[in-house]
Amino acid sequence: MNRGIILLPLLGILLLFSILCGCSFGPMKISLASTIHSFLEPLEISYMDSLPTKIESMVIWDIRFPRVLLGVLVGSSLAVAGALMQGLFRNPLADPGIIGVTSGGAVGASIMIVLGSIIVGDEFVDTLGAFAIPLAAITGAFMVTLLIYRLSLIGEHVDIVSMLLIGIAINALAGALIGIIVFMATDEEVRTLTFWGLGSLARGDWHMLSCAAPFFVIPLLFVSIFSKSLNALLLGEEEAMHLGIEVSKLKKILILTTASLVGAAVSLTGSIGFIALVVPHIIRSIATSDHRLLLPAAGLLGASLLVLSDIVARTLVSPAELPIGILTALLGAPVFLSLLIRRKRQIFV
Amino acid sequence: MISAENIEVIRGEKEILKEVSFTAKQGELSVILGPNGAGKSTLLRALCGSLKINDGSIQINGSNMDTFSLSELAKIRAVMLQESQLTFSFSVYEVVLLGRTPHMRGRPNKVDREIAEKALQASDMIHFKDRLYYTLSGGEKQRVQFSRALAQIWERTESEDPGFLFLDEPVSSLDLKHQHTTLELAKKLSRKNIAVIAILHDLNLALRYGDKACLMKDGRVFKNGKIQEVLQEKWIQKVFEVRAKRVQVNEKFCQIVTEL
Repeated sequence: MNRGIILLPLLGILLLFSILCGCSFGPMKISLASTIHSFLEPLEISYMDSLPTKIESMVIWDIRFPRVLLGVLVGSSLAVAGALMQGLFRNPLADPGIIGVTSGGAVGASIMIVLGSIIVGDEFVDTLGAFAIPLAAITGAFMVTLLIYRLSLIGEHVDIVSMLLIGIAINALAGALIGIIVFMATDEEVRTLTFWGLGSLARGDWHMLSCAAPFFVIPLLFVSIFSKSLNALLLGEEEAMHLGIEVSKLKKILILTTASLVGAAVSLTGSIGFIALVVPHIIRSIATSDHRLLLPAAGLLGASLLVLSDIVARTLVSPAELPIGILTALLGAPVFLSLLIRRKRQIFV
Repeated sequence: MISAENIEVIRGEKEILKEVSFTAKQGELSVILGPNGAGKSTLLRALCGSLKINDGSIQINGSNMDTFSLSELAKIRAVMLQESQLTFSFSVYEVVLLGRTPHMRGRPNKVDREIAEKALQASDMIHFKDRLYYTLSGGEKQRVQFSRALAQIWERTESEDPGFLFLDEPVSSLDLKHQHTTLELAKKLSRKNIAVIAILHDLNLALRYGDKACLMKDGRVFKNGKIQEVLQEKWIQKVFEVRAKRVQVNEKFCQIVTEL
């Protein structure tokens, strides 16, 4: 428990550092000092000689900072959603991708990209504007979550095993649906689909951020209320009930919260894998499984990890850009494997 | 006091419990005995409120169990089930602290931590305090779970209000010494205002530590009463379908010897 006193401030510093780097690295190099100065400018604090130029300030405030903030929101949401799912399933390998929420969002978005004007009409799509695709993705994520929840309800209990199996089926179905949609799409639409499917933070701007923020921030703020119940749930559903936890209610809230966090994330940045799986693992192995610390720590680390990955995605093949989903998978999969090996050693030695 | 009157549990087509009546009081260690599939665990689950009964009623200290909320129940009764799966890296101490969940608002306070330590000491697991739970052996896990249940109702041992402790085969993985120390502890708790209800398989341990016994067969209560009266040779033979003989070891104890 005492590790939290060190861990959270350390992760906070890492996040601040990541945000500063995210704002200063890119095709146009801006020194860290100028970046810091640019952030202090509105406060009218000036202590350094390296004043940022007007263009530098513009690049930081209008292009990079909103993109970095999008990374912070999506990264922390995915990591927290992962921690919640793993608590719900009492399995460190569970992931929002597994129960099909991510796929649901992807199907919703793909349908909107290719068939949107046919289904809801050009006019409606125009009214929604930039939000047509995000809204479709959130709807898809919610619908899949509700469907899985309904199907896996046995009596008053959500049966975890059926839920996982149905998740697998939904993922397969979603893959097929997206395949059909891609087959129907024009060349230009296919390019959007592919890029979107692999994930990118490139669409981050202030307008989008301000509209999407509530979907992330509200669940993130109230999720810590459930830390105590989540800890008890790890002992088992019946055990948690004996400890006074309203298990059915808790599970419903957890499922809806995860759907909101993941749906909103997928809608803005596409499917970015492994953050939800790897970040909670890292926190558990270096510190604790106690959700009171795990949830905030995962949020901070998830945000830093995604922002740092985005820097690499932007600069590695500059001026082109790697889809960030490729990068998180490349970084995440080996980390995940090494965690598995470490875990094995702990058990058998 | 907890008492079940004519309870019935039906799952699908099968009647798992039929007209079962059962009473357990503070100051007594009640043992539920019977062959596999007799309905022992179902009865225990019905009594601790995690299983809906189809008929009959269960009263806790004179009020119907339905009138208690889950969190109210959690403050007066603790349950230890057979081995609990916990794949996450919790330390032994943290697992025992989970037993304090019904009493906590957010974080454990000083009292919670003291009780967790005392509960660990009581089951002789204090030296394992910082070990990771999933690295323990089956028997060690069982002792930790016992501590967790004990931590949940610790205050009840020091107050006038009665508490309840339900144990589903609490000694099934324990070595001989800890079988005795655990049941000795359970017996002590029963003398401190806690009604202890335990499912046991070992008739000799039941005879030695139990005050009352409920002998079950095919979802019904076969015999109910003082342990010495229930565990008679003829009843054991009828229920377990083995030959049984009671052998007097000394003035105080007798042993039950069984064979096919």
